[in-house]
Order: sequence, then C-alpha cells, then structure tokens
Amino acid sequence: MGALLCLLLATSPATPELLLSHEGAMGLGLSGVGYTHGGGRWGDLSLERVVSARLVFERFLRGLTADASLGQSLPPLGGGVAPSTSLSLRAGYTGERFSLVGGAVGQYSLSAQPRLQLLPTFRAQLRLGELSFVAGVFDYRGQAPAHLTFEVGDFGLGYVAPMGALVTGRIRLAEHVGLEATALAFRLANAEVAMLTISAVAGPRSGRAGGNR
Amino acid sequence: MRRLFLLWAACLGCELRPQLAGREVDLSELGKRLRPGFLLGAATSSHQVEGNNSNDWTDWEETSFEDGRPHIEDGSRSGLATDSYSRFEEDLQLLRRLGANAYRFSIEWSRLQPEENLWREEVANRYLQWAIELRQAGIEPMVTVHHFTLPKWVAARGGWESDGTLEHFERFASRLAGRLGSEVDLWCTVNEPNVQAVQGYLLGIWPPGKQSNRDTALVMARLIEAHARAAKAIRAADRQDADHDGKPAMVGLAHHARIFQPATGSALDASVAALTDDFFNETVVRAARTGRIQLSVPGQLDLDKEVPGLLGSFDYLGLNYYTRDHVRADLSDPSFSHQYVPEGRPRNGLGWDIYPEGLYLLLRRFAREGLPIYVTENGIADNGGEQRPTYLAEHLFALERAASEGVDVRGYFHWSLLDNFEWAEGYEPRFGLFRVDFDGPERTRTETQAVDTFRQVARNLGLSPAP
Repeated sequence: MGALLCLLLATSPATPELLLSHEGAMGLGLSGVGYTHGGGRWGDLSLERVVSARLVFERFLRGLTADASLGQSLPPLGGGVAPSTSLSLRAGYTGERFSLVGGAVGQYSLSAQPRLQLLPTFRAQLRLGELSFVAGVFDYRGQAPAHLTFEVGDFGLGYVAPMGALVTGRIRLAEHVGLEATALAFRLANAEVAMLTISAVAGPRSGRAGGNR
Repeated sequence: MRRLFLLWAACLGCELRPQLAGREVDLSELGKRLRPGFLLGAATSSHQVEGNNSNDWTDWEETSFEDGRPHIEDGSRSGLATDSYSRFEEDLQLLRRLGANAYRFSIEWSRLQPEENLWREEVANRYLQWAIELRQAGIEPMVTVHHFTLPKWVAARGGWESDGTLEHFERFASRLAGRLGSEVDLWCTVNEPNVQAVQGYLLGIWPPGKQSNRDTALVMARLIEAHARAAKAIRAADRQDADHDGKPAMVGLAHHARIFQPATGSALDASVAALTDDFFNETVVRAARTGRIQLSVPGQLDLDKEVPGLLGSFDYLGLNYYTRDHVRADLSDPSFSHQYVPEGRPRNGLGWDIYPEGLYLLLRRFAREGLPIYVTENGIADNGGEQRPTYLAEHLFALERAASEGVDVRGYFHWSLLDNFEWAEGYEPRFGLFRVDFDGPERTRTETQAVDTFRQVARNLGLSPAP
C-alpha cells in the first residue's frame, strides 16, 4: 500500500510544484568592509569565492530543504583583514508557496582570535502571485544582518537593515543554467559593508524565467 | 589584479593602507623635509617621573583588587620614580644631548595644591624655573595640566564623576597659566580623556577602579568639558607671548588614538571595529569639530550636549599614537569584541603591535579637522633598547610622509625621555630614550641606542645636539 502511494505521488501529474528546487551555484566576487570617520573612510577589500547548493526533496520527505554555502574571502593586499572561510548550513521546509530554512553560519580564520565566529541564520520566502518576499537574518553567509527583498521574475530588490540595499538579477543561459548577480551594501552606524558576486547556477529550473529562488 | 583592486578601492573612496614596514629608512635624510621650526622633543608626566607624590594614584598603588592582586602588576609603587623633581638639571642635559628643541612635561596638581585652600608657591616657582631653563636652552616647553592624577581632596569629592571637579580644575588651570604664562605658550589641557575613562571606569584597572559603561561615557564627556574650561581659563590668564610668534597661548589636548583593524572581512568584525573606533578615536575630535559631546551607551545613556566654549577651544590637536588593535566580534564576550595582535606581527615589550603606518593614517585622518597637529606621544616599551631605533625611525618616516602630503604636523614628542612608572604595569616596561637604574638611589640615566637615531634626526632638522 505504501509503495503504491509513493508510486502515485511520484508519477502524479497533478502534484503541484514546490516553490524551490535543487540548485547548485559557483561564483566569484568582491567584498569590502570598513568604516567612516570624520569625513573619510578606511576599508579593506577581498576577493570572494562562493560555492553553494540547495536540495529540495520533492518525493520522499517532500518539502524537506537543506542548503549549504561555502565562501572564501581572500584579501589581495597584505596587512589588513585576514583570509577567512565561511560555511552556512541550513535546513527547513519548502511548500508550494513558501520556504523556511534555518541553521548556523560559521566563519573561520586561522589568524583571528577567536578563530571561529558562529551565528544563527534564517531565510524565509513567500510567493504571492508573481511577487516573492524574501526575509533573511545573517543571510549571505552572515554578511547581511537582516534583509527584506521583493522579487519579480528574475530580479529582486531588497532593504538591508539598518541602512542598505540588496539587488539580485538572473539571466538564463540554457534550459538548466543561468547566471546570477547579487550585490549588497549597508551601513551600520559608521561601519560599511559591500559585496558583489556573480555566480553560475545550475539546476532543474535554473534556466526558467523567474525560476528558482 | 592588484591594480584592479586599487582602482575599485579608489572608486569606493577608501583610503588604502600604505606599506611602510620593511622599508629601509634613510637616516641621513630623515627629518630634512620637515617644516622649519618643527618641534622635536620628548615627553614625560609628573607622576611617572617626579617621585614622592601624594595623590589618588599613590593611594591606588597601595591597595589591591578584591581577589588580592595588587593594583600595580609588579607590585611596585611609584615612590621615588626617576626623582626628576629633584633632578631636573640632569634631565635638561639629557634633552640637550638629544638635540631636542621641545619638552612636554606635566604639572602635578597635588604638589601645587595638596589641599583645596593651599597653594604652594615654591612649587609654582620651581615649575616656572624649569620653563625658564628650558627656554634658555632653546627648548620649547609644552605643559600638560592634567595627566591622569588628581589631588586626594579632589578625588575624595568624586573626581571626574563630579561636576565640582570642573570648577576646581578651571581655577587650577587659570592660576597655573598666570604663573607660567610668561615662559609657556604651548598648553596641553588634558592627557588622553578616552584612556583615563576606559582604564578607570570601564576596565577598572586604574583609579577609581569602577566598571560602568555609563560612568565611562560620563567621565569622558567631563574630561572633554574640562579641556574646554581650562582652554578658556588659560587663554584669559596667559597673555604673555613667550616665543614671540604672535600668540601667547596655543591650547590643545593630547588625544590617544589607535588603529582598530577589523580582523576579517566579516560584517560583524567590521561593525565592532567601527563602533570601537567611533567611541575611542572619534569622540574627542568630533567634539572639537562640533562643540558638542555626543556619546551613546545603548539603554543607559544618550548624551548629546553642547558645551559652552568647546567649539574653538582647540588651537591644535595632540596625537598620542602607539599601536594597532585587530578587532574580532566575539558574542561570547560581554563587550562582543576581542582585541588582539595576530601571531607573527612585530610587537613591543607589552605585546603591542608595531605599526608605523598607523601614525601616517591617523595624521592624514585628523588633518581633515583643519587643526595643526603635534604628535604629543609616540614610543615603545623595549626593555633591551634594540627595537627603539627602528621604531623611532619608522614612525618619524611615517610622520614625514604625512607632512610631505600636506598634513600640518608641527612637532613630535617621543615617549619617553626616561624609563618611568608605567601606571598599572609598574616599572617593568621601559619606554625611555634613557634607561634609568631604579635600583640605585642616584637613579642613574644611561643612553639607549635610540639616542643616536634621535640625534641624527635632530641634526637633519638643523638642531645642535650637545656632545
């Protein structure tokens, strides 16, 4: 009986599509952190390398979602910020119109004291018609303290607390492949953080319009 | 790739870090590009060198923390210190040997006014005599009015937690300027308000040993206000132009600034470093710029106060620079922050990062305030004396580079002329250009290697060190 039910679920054309599906991404970018003072600013720049993956179970344990993102931050100019590696691991549930994942993001730097910095991270997404709302806490491997983003089709525009913005855009390259750009910048008191990454994304719906956020 | 990053940084308006470390400094040229009249000197403070003081610090030295540890790490007391109150002539010879044309020293309030209604004129005369002798030797005196210590009677009434101290300090500054004004034009009202507030009221390792965010902010604010009041009093009392430059008094304070380097590219590290910088480095200069004291301790204090006389109270900014801290956000720490020096960095005897680029960066930064700058302190704890020559040369190189780029920096005072009582660290760290034998009653002074470096720079400036 159970096997029959699984078979029905697996083959049923009426099974609605979940909000998200599997996807992998690999990208490069630049980031800058620093702060302002008396009319000037000091900052440090880094090269970013990012690999991420998301699994969304569509049959067995339907809706179970896990995402992971691994980032490397490599400053090209010596004497400032130290190289670091970040890993975000989250799990949760994806339905037809919403998704919620939570977990932890750890940032490790060999020369920092303490070496490991651990933060909680959450991301929630809700689709209403053509519009999607995304809210995140310590999203983007901890680099966005809190954001609320509105997405239409392949583009998204968001607010990053306390004062900042986030822009995402995706172009389709092939049926299952796309190119995604993410830029965020924010100020927290006199601190400034900016990041730009461009990633190749691949997955069952990665080349679809509006497809796979 | 490096060029690409530099371009991107320039687009963002970031000032990139200069690379001075490891660069060979040509000692034969060092100082030659500095402006005529540049002051090259050394600094001390009364409690650290004079000896036989009786003030709030001597009380502190005699007591312990609740867990039994002595307030002074090595268990020492300032005691006789370098006995400089009785050996000024000897110290003057050291300054001449250096070829210095400036000397920053502080006045011991508790010595002049051990009780509220007692003013010891013989002490005032002695300080005046020092200024006279310095000037006769071609050495410009810079006088610090408050360098961390308070008379016991002032401390007993609340010290810098009390508004009454502002009144007492203003009267003291006025009287002092009246007595010394004929020989002194360069006045430094308060030394390192941020350091005194943090050490005494946040970390609790200096008197009065409190640990309160709110009190830290309030005391820092009161010390800045003390500067404003003292500046007004000094200008009113000192009408004699000792150096005939058209200004009878140049008044400023000595601001301790550090480089707060985010440990990594983490947004949290940057945020914590930024907030630390804003409180520690920016509060004083913002006050100078706006005439307002703005300090915030979330949930406890939100201070935004216009202080009468604060705007325009700075004729110069004094900069005390020693080191850089790497800042890591650490949520397990009550302050959410951990400051450290990474492994492999060159350090001084107290473990502080040796980072001459920081002096350049801070000079460039504070030049935007539009005030002349004096480096009122810069030095190294170096018990063997081997690191000091390079430290001195590299920091003067950084200063000269900033000056060549238009920064109006008018003087450099090395900390310190002599080994001395280094507050909570006692006598263990040695900052002196001249080593002092603290075991002998004569407190014999001996040259360290850096004296030659200093003398060479003095010669390059056109000064004449004594043989």
